[in-house]
Amino acid sequence: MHKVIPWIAAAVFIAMYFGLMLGAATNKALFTEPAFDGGVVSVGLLLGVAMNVGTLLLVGGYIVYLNHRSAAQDGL
Amino acid sequence: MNTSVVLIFVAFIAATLGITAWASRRSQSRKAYYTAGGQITGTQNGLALAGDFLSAAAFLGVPGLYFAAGFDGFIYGLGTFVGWPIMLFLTAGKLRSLGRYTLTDVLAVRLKETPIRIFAASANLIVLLFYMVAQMVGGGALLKLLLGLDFTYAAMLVGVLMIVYVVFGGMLATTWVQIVKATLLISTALTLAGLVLIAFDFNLGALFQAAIDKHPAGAAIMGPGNLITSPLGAFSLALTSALGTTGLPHVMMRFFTVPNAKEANYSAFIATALGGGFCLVMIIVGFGTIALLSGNPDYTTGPAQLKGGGNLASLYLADALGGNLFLGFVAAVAFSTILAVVSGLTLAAAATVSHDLYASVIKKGAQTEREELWISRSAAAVFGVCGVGLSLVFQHLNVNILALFATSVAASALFPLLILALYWKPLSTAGALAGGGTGLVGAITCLILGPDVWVALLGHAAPIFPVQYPTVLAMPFAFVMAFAVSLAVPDKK
Repeated sequence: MHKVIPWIAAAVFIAMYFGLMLGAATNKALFTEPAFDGGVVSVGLLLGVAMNVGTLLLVGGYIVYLNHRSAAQDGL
Repeated sequence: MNTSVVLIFVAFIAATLGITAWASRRSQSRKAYYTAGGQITGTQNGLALAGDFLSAAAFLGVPGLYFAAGFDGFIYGLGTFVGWPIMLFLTAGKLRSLGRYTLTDVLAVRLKETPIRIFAASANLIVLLFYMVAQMVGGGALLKLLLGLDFTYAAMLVGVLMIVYVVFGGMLATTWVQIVKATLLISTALTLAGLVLIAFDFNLGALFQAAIDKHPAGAAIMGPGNLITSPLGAFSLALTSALGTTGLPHVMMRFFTVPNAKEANYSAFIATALGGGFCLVMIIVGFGTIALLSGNPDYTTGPAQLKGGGNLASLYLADALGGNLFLGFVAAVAFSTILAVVSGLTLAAAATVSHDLYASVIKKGAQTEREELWISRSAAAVFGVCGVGLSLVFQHLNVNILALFATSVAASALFPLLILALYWKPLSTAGALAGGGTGLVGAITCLILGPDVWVALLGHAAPIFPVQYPTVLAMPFAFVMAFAVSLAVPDKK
């Protein structure tokens, strides 16, 4: 199980980043539309910030997992 | 010439030379010289790693792209940190556990030492040299503009300083110069963003609206424009940004400066967090350049056109918001950015020559530590002189082509070898050489036949290879060749 977790984390990140890039390339009109009625922030900018924050949460969670695993190994 | 800019430049150079003098007394052994004795903490190394990618392109180039095209600047800016998560998940800890001084050490653990070291060292030097020339050309142009120095003297100043840092201070000086620079750069970006927010009463909506009102493209700046032209191009750019970083020798070498795999992972986490945060802060700075500089005749020559080029956007913003003194400070930070990055590149090249080629291939481990260090310091000086010389030759070439060349070769030739060496047991020496060679030749060929060289440089009507980044073709071919040849020609047990 522990061998698969880094690959799952990498796959989640790649899905977020490549999804954003391919979305921007294939759907420029949608990415330029305002995300909220009457607002100026676009769907693209909102998705980009979400991808950025999502990545930070993912790497933060991964470090917590590594520390937890390391503590568990020390306890054995 | 701006006096405050010069004074701040001199103060920065004095401080970094002080760091080098301190580090030189602690860099007498081989381990201390190459890897700072493995005593850099995870947080310090994370800052140094972040510094490697928060380069002049991130601080000067990205705000320029925001100013010209809005959202495209954000997409381009993501490239400053998307390599780090992959490194954290797949390579950082394993790399630290397997290697000693260089990226090639990791490959030599599993494969026949002499051929793999010769190939990997050659690919490393190609990547480092082109990366170096790109930085030197950008740095020389910046100094020429800010201090009024002739390009030749500007490049020589950068060259002499980086040789001094590396020859005398080794990895310890290089790392601390990078840490100081990363701290200054992040603080400066935060200050700029804070000043922009103050100018708009902390109302992000008002900032974006002002940018839309002032930019000739209007609301279109909130969406993708010209940077991403096709799904294939977007896919290739994403591949290069996310995976190319993991093949950069000067970045990988930093993982050997920490004491263990846990600290290596932690440093990759810190680098990701800092890079991601920087990217978010640059949204405010970038749209701030549009909202606050557009239409001001002191900074612009026309709609979406800055005096002296787009790379000056963040410097002009500093002048508009903080006056002459703040401009001087930001310019010194930009200069320190270039110095810190080229020093890291020079050290990685010196270690490649002295450790991978001289000590391991030529002398087969029979050299003394003193001999190896002498070769390393000499190689640093020679590499620095080559960097200055080539930057003078290529000073008129598009910096982007040079940087593109380096990252594409790293992604296509070195990343496949590294990831297969770490995770695929059947990888053989013949497979590694075939895969790496295919990636190297494929990347160079596609780059020459692509739009940046075939059309822009050589003047042909249309490119033979349609995508700017060759990684999309060269990297898969490298993997396929490495798989096929490894299975056909396995290493003898």
